[in-house]
Amino acid sequence: MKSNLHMYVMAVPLLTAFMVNICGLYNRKVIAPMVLGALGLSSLLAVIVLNRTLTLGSLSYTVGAWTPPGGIELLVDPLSALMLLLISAVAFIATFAALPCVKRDLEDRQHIFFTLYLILIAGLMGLVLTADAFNLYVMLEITSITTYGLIALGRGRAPLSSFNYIIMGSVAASFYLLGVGYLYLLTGTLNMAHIATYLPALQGSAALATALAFILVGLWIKMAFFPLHGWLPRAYSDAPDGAGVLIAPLMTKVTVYLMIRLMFTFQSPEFQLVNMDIHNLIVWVAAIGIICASSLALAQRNLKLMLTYIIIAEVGYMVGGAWLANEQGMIGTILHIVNDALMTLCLFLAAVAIAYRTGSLQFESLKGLYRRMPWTMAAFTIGAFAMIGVPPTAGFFSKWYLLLGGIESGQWIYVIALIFSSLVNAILFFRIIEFAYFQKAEDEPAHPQGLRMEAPMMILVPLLLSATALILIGLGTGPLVENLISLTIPSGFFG
Amino acid sequence: MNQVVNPLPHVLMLTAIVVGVSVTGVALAVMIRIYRKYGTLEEDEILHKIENE
Amino acid sequence: MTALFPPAVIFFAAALLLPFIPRSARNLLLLVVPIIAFFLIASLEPSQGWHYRMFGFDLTLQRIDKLSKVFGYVFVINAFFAFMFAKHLKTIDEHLAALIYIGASLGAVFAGDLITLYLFWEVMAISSAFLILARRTKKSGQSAFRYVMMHLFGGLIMLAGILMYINNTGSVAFDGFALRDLSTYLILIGVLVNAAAPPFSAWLSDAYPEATITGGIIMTAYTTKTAVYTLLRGFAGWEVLIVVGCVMAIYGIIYAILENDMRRILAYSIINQVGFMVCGAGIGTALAINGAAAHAFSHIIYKALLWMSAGSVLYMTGKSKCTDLGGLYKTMPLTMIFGTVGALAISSFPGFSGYTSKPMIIEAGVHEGLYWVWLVLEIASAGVFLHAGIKFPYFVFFAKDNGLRPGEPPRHMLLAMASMAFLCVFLGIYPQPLYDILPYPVDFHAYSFEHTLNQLQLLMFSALAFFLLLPMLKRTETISIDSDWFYRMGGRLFYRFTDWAFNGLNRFADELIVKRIPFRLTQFFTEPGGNVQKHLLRIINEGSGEERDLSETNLHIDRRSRRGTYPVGGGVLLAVIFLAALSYLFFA
Repeated sequence: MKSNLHMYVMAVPLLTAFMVNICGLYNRKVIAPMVLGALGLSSLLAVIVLNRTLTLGSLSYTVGAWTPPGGIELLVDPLSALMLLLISAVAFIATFAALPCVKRDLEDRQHIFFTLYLILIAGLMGLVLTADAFNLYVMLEITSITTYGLIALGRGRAPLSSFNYIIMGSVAASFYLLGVGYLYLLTGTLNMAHIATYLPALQGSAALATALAFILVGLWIKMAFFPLHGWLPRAYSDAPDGAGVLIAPLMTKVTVYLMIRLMFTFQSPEFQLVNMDIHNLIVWVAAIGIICASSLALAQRNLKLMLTYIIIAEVGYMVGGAWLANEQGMIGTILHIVNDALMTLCLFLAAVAIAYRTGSLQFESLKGLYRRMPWTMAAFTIGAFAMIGVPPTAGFFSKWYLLLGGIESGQWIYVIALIFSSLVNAILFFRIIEFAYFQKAEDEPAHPQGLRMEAPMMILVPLLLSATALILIGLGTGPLVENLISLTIPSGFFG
Repeated sequence: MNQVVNPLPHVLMLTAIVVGVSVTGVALAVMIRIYRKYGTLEEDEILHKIENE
Repeated sequence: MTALFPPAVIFFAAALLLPFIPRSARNLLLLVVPIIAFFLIASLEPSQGWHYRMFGFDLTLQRIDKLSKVFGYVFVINAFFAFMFAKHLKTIDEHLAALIYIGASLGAVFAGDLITLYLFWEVMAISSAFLILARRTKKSGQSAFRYVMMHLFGGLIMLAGILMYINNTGSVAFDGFALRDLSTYLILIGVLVNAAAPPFSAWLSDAYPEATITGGIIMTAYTTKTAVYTLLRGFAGWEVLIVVGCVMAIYGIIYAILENDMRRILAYSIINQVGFMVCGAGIGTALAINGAAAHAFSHIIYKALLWMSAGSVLYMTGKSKCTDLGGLYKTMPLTMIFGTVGALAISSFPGFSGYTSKPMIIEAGVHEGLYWVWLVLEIASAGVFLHAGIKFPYFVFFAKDNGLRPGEPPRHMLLAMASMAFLCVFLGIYPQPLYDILPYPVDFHAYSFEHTLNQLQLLMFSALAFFLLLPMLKRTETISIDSDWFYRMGGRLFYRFTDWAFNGLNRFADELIVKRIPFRLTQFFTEPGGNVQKHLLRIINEGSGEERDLSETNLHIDRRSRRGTYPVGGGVLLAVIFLAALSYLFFA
């Protein structure tokens, strides 16, 4: 049904971006309220959109009222509504922590930072809303370009890491564009649903196979699917703290969503995207990726770098789960998108909090943190449990579905990779917990109170919120899956 | 004759060009920062400098 | 008052409230919680379950029957006295971990389905790790790490088994497993890790002595006994458990006798005692299950008592090695008495709680015609008397006087120990209340003439052997395993043999598994990317014929992988190769 409510969710950050740039130039104090206000409004609207979508059905908006397939359509169905809410909520929470970090790192360029920041969020929202393959490319590049800029604002090696990301990201986008170009040549339309109607007739066509391969690899580079992950660790850890807390939880997950969206739209009982051998191959590659990424994470001595390699492993979970070709796996993947975004948010917020107070994220400087920053470490511990997969945190439940899906389709390598990764995560996080539990002898003053150097409230509150969310969503997995996630899979997808 | 030109290929091309220009712009800006920091644009020299930091 | 919620919830709620309660009220809360839980359990009726839906299954959060209630009661009783003992603690992290741990154990024994069981199982593992970590020494940190890894590994095996079971049968019911295939064996292995069955038992003797004083007391009760409960519920009658149980019983004895640290002796003693219970689960008859449950009940109490007395000694002297202690009866008479009560209880001395519970298992074995089981368990019982009944009190409180003159531990510790000792004696003399709550009706007369005579005979010969071999004791304090058949000469040979065999085995395993393999693994994983490149390069170099000097290149690889300074072209090349491969595969 026609509506433009979801457009407001995207329009608000977009317009605020420009306002922030101009107003922030003159008066720095208005930046924080404007950004927070915009994102809060967006989140509220996203909740309403979700509610409406579940009760009334998909909402559709066509730009300029030009009908598809000529016009661009922006569609909200339960999956997009879920993603929309996820993006706006995570962005809102992350911004609270980003503000003090940006103030400290980029005193005089805050308005520029937040302009890019808000455009990035608008781009992410556009990605989940669009139903047009080429509009997707545009949105993808919007998010990428702003990300390139945001990362380059960091210190140290950041410009080089950003440049690496520019090269890899542009290659990926070009692949995607070529793929869409081929699809256009074959079908004459850019609207995804419309393309899907032409696909059964093209079954077995070499051009179609090439197009799909290009699109898939392009997306895989963007989501840092092993072995195409090289750009991510440096890019995400050299980024300024304020940008990291937004980019790390969201970007890769939204790209996974894109892959799933393409799978859902193109695949139907009449047209199978790929045959079962390719499914198995992709799951194998994903499993190997999980194992390798976890092993690489073991080698790291810096908290943020370790977290980025864990992100790469998590992407492996999701890609493997999506290509398992059964319902449990797909539910697990979608649930994992939500859970992983929250887990990454929680852990990155903790890392940012620690960096804010101690200035370094090398493991050696994490000593005695349980005494100095008890709340931060408590939240970090919950995030760690979620990553390992300890009930009742959310991480366990998505792992459950993924494991069940893996066993059901007989993909033992995937199951073993998941178990291996859980154990490695346990090693990784317990190392840190161990470091943080023990006091540095020279450092300890007589009065325990004097040692307390808890993170500032602006960072601590979002951190605790995300940790609580991990537990609440974990406990509420049942209703979440039944009432929302199982509705997102089109019927006949596994036919 | 009321034949209208199909706008889609034009759109594709123009948008691709615009996006390409933007990315090139950003990349060049980042390159300027890299040059200011490392004094050279040769990748192996830069990597060498970083390794020996 | 109808039961509104599972008892586990009380403990979790207390854990949530604890950070916000002032120091003075904290101990009160900790003592009140087990009392409330006790009455709650007492009022639970079998019909009351608590169902909820998850994963598309109907799950049962609370399933009441006599078997669960027995374990529930003893868990709560132990909690009460453990918290009493722990009154002196200043920081809350141990209390928080303990509350969550005990709550999770209660949740596990009242769980009605596999998923709920697994959820609580994992929470138990993590919370107990924090009890070890709370000691804040370097050794305890490493120990906690190994503990967590072992338990997570066991948990994941169990999870894999549960998932396969669900996949095969579609049911999550947690009752006796009729099916015996890979899935249930995996679940069994997962449970046995928690039960500390060899070869998965190293964590217990490694971690429990490294825990804090009060942490150790709490930990002895829950993890292993929850595993025993699970075995009794799901795997009763699985013959393999009889073998495992006997192995555990003997293994625990041997290592307990070879040990010097008093808490490590007690830790191996746990393995031994749990072995009896596992054996009972394996035998599977009504008498055996009764025996295992009753033994679990008594064991928790007297083991806690023993750990409390060891803990008191550690608290007052700061030492825990038998060779450093001795002669403490002069200044710690009450602790000595309580410790001795515990020692007599664990040895199944008539008049104490071990006597009215453990022999049920042995008799069940006899009823089934499993005479070799009877033999092994009797040998093990004699061994128990040797290491826990005599050795532990003797070397800690009597023997060579090392000049230590500590006073009695604080009053709350003495009170906790006195209460536990009272329970040991009470249940030894009047076991009927325990028999009433056992799962099956009890037809066991502990104090029949032949039972009592048999047991006293066993114990007296063991004591004789101990004192005859006393002059042979050196620093490693080994005494031959004794039984009615060979003492003295056989004993001397046996001592030399066990030392060579088991200590030698230990040394070999230590060298290989603890030192070399992890060393190689850590060497590899410290820099996996770089190491893979170096190995590949070496292979290519050797294969190409001309042996170039690779040290320069290796250094370069090292520097590059450590700093992550790979040229961006590499990534692009990978992407293009990947694309080419995928396009080709999509064609075909």
